[in-house]
Amino acid sequence: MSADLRSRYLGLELRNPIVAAASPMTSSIDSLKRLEDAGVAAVVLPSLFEEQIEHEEIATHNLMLSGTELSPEAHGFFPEMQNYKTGPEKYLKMIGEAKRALAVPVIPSLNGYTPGGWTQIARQLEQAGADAIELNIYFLATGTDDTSTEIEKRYIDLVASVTSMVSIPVAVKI
Amino acid sequence: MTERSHVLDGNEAAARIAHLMSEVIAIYPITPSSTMGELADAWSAAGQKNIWGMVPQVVEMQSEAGAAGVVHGSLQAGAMTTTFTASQGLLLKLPNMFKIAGELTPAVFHIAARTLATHALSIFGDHSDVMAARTTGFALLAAASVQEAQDMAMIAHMSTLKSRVPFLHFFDGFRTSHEVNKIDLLLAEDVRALIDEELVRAHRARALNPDRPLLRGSAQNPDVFFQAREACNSFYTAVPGIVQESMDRLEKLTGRRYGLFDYQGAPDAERVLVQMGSGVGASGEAVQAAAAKGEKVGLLTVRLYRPFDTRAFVAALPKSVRSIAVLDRTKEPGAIGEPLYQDVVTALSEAWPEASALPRVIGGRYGLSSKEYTPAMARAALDELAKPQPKRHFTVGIVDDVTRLSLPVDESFETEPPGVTRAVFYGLGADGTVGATKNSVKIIGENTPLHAQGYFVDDSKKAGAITDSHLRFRPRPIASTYLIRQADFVACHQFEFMDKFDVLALARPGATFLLNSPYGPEQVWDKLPREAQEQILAKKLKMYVVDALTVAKQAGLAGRINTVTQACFFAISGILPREEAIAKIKESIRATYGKRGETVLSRNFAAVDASLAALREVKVPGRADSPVTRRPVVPLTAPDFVQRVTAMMLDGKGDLLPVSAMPVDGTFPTATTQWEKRSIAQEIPIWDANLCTQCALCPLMCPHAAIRMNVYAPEQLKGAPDGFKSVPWRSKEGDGLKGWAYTLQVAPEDCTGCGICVDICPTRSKEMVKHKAINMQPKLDHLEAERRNYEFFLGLPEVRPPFEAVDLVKASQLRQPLFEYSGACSGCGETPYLNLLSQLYGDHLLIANATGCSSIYGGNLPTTPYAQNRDGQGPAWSNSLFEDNAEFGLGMRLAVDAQRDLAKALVRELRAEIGDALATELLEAPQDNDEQIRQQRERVRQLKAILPTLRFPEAAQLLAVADNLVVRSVWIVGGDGWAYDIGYGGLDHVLASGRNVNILVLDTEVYSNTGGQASKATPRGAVAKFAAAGKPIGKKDLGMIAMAYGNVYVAQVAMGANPVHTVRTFREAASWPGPSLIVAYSHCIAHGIDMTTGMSHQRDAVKSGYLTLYHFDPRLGMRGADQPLKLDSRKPTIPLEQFTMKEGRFAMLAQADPARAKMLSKIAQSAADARWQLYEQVAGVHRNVTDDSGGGAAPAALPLSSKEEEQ
Repeated sequence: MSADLRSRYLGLELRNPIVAAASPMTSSIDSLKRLEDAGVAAVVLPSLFEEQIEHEEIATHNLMLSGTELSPEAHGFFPEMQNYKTGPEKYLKMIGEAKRALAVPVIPSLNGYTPGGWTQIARQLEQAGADAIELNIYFLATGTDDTSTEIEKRYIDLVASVTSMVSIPVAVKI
Repeated sequence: MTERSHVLDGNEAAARIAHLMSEVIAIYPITPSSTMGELADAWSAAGQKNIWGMVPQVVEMQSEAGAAGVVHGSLQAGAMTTTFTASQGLLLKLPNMFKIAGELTPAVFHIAARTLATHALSIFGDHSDVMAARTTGFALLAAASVQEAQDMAMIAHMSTLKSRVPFLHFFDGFRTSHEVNKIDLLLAEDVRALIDEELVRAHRARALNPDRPLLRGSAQNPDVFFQAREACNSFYTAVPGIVQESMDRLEKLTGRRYGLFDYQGAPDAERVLVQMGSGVGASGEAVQAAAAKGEKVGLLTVRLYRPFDTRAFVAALPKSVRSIAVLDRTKEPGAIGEPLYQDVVTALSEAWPEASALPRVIGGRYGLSSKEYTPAMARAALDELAKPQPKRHFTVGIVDDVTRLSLPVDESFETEPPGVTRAVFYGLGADGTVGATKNSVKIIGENTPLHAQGYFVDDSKKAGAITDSHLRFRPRPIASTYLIRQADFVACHQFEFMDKFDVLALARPGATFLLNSPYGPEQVWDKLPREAQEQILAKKLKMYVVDALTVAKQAGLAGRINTVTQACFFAISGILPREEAIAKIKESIRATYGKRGETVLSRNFAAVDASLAALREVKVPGRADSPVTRRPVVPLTAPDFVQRVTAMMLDGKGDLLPVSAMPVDGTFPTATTQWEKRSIAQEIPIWDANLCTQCALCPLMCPHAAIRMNVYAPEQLKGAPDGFKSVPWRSKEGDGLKGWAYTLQVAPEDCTGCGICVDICPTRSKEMVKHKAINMQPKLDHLEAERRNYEFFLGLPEVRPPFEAVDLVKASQLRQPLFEYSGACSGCGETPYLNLLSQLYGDHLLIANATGCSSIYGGNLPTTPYAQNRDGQGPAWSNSLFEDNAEFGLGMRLAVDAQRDLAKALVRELRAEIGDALATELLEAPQDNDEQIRQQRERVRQLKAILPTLRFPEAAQLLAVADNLVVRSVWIVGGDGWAYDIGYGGLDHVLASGRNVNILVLDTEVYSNTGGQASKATPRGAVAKFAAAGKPIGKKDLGMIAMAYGNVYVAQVAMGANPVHTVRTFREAASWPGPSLIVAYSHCIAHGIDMTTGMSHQRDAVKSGYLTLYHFDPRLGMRGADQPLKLDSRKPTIPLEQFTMKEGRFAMLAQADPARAKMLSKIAQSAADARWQLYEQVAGVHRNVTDDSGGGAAPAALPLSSKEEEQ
């Protein structure tokens, strides 16, 4: 006789309380399917780092610019690519593929640090088909002048700005 | 403003038409035509189609000769085919051009006309290359502007199909090929409308086709060849009519009218200029200005040069013409006159109506190698025509004080039409100035009714190069094909330029000056040199400053100031209303950089927005009272030639040098970079003497020989400046230097600040974090002290302990580098190998250098980095061509050997007079090390002292060749472009020659000098031009191929991975008395790496198996069962990707096309594993060689015939 393990999380109906957390194991479709086959009730995709996207874009840009106009014989060293595929596209694509491949809820995780970055990308995650969003707020409170009220307000403001932009559930990891 | 209005350069204008009209495009890169091929490749990669709905195939060949072969084959098999080239490349295509024309095959070659290499190479523009092709039977059609580069391209494609005669369509290299201007585009539908499909079908019907087989390329005999050659005559007579017809059809479609010859000026002109190419822009302005004042002058523009229609030519001239000056942009020494002049004289003599007197014709040369050609020079030619006895042949634009052919020019003659805004921008290569200025031209040209023109002048150096951008705007089309002399706006984008050259020279009185300055409006005045202050006051300039560096940094775009300065230009110039200008700049940023991501866009937008707030006007005080004056160009201690000639060139005043100042045969002195003192580093390495382990790696790996070491007796420190650092030398048993002192010294004004020395320093402080035995520190804090230290350091004597006594690296670095301070990129991977070569053998070294980066930083005027030791000895260097370098070096070897053998024979003959002992030693003493060579030099010195006292003709003969009794090391140097591709045939033959030459391949795995096109050395998966989707084929294994000969010393080295191996290899290669080949891995900016880590990064190349270090020494193979191949690196310990993903050239693909990158990476890993296994096995093979000839290794030292042996 099997036990009824159904649970509720973020307003989502789960078949059991076991959710695969963000990790390399949730980073490929193959792996996600195996997790689902093994019985997890929902999956959280690895965190999308706003900083990483920015870094990749600027690094690509700097690479293309390196050595330009260095000499009259060489105005640049690299051919202009058709598509650099920087930005969150890869991640959004993966959400779509995961939604098509899995029956259980798919929850992307977002690590941003600018208010604009958060709300923009959160909305894109929703549009890509996310069932919910995990907000990975990792703020190191090292400023001795910052009061606890200020720090807490920062978290609250961030959460408020995201929840105002999306209608899917939002989990906050502090 | 229409949808057809577009701003682009001449190359793009021509390439667009060619791409639409082609199915197969075969190219080879050569400046200034490379862009055409690159654009075609990019368009095909993006899936852009030709007018038949197909994507043209673009292939890069091993040379232009190869490309011409592909073109010929493709045409023969019926495809619409084209190619792009210039200069030397055009020469390499000549044999195929004769054939293509002989077979009456429609084709168009698009040429960015460039100077042919004669006494020197030049990348710049003139007609010498197309003129060398005029006997091929190709039609020659000249475009004179960016609009014409498109229109003549179209006319050429139309006309060749109808006439079956192939066309050379050309426009001036750089002046037109690189000028951006606003033109009316021909769109795909226009091109389709102009092409008669029936003619395309006819072309295909003539093709090689087994269903209706035919034969071409027969060999013919005296009985029929002549008649067959004459059978094409009617096709040629038809060409002018067909070309005019094509021009008429274009006019119908576009409204733009062209003729075979076009006349402008007074309808009753008596003096007429005849000219072809961009020069007509300047001449036209001069003629219009004169005609407007009633002068009877005119200009005839030649468009169809071959076939030359004499009747159309005469018909285009006004009947009133009495005298003609023909201007040729080429030189043909030995001819009566230049080609266009000769054709005009012949045309007149054949077609001028017999009733009237023939006009007098004079011929002049102008504009060679993009020498400026201005309206004032056209004026000078018109004035010459007015003289009762004009010079029959003249030059204009230079001062010829030797043969006095030059015309005097009144430079104050200005014809710039009213209403034109002229702006000049000075930037540093790689700060983005040129790109931003091009964008500004686009913004104005495509968003306003104004016409816009941009032209860019580049420096020859690859680090710290200055770029000049000249921009014009006005309501009417701009045909001023010359540089701005009176600018309304001058921008200086790097503050240090104010100290280095006369930035304000082109500013007209009342102009506006924008300076990128770290100092605010109140502080900046006192920081300017006095000369600049004086100019600002005298010319009453309006001055602005902006701290572009800070604005860019705050916006997250460290170092890229171009967006900031561009926004300021628009704000100040008021060409567009501020708001609109900002909006347009942002739009253009989106268009240029949009693909790279939102972050790039948002940061650039932020920079634009912040720029205007940071822009400040300077209230110019009344007095020029700066204590700072501009540095002299070269020190007063420089030699005479450097002060008179080199300094002028360094100061940008080379145009003022007269003919007499120039060497007659292209010979230049060496050791001139030492006088430049470019001082471009922001930070320089400062030595922590007590921490240093004296490993000698930093002087070995410094690309510019700007950090050096020396060991000396402590007494030498007498007179050393305060602060000169010295520590005891860590002596080794037997080095003979016990108790001596050691110094590591930076050359502060020659260092480029690459930081490699610090990166590879193995010695870290245990107390201070991030502190090593050398550390980068702000140059300005140390400049004065280190300048004095370096001067003292250079006076210390050189000591050369034997290589066996000190370790190899140290021994090599104690020797004076005879290759220094080159113009190579900061952090270059090639130059350390050349430094080392010069240290080991420089004083008896001949170098044959292929065209490429090494010939540019090695021999691009005004200065050359090859140096001399205190006795005046040093490398003798020459660059011949690209394709012939191995052969060139072999020739040097043969010549040196012939003269040595002659000297020996003469010594034997004069034995009694010279003295038996001296003669025997001269003939037989070994010269295997420094001491022995020094002794031989001494003997030769003695010999040369004796010879003049002897009264035999043989003595004089011997005196002339005695130097060759001292051993000479001949090295053949070049990059992978030469060695793997264009020069490979020659390289292979030289390897097979058995002669004692040493070949050094500086392998950057890509065509570095011309901007990163793929070579056969480019690895699998790397992105390069013509391999935009990652190169699918792996790297050619040049070493393995060479090893197959058995008697060639072959090695793969990577200095950053194994410096000791590198030094050892150079010595082994030089000592092998046969052919040697060293493939030297060179990191490069084209790899997309942080150049500071270029050397240390090579370690991963070896650890991952990307590179296998080895040496194949035939001597090892001679000893019976030994195997000549020895591996010098270990089995790979990390996966290939751990190395490749650190490089932009691989990582780029992983980002843009992850699936393909993964696929190629997998194959590459597999291939690397397989290669390691192969090498391991070959190195381990047991051979059973039982005789002295070592399995084929021996012939290196064998004489080539027994007759030679007798000598």
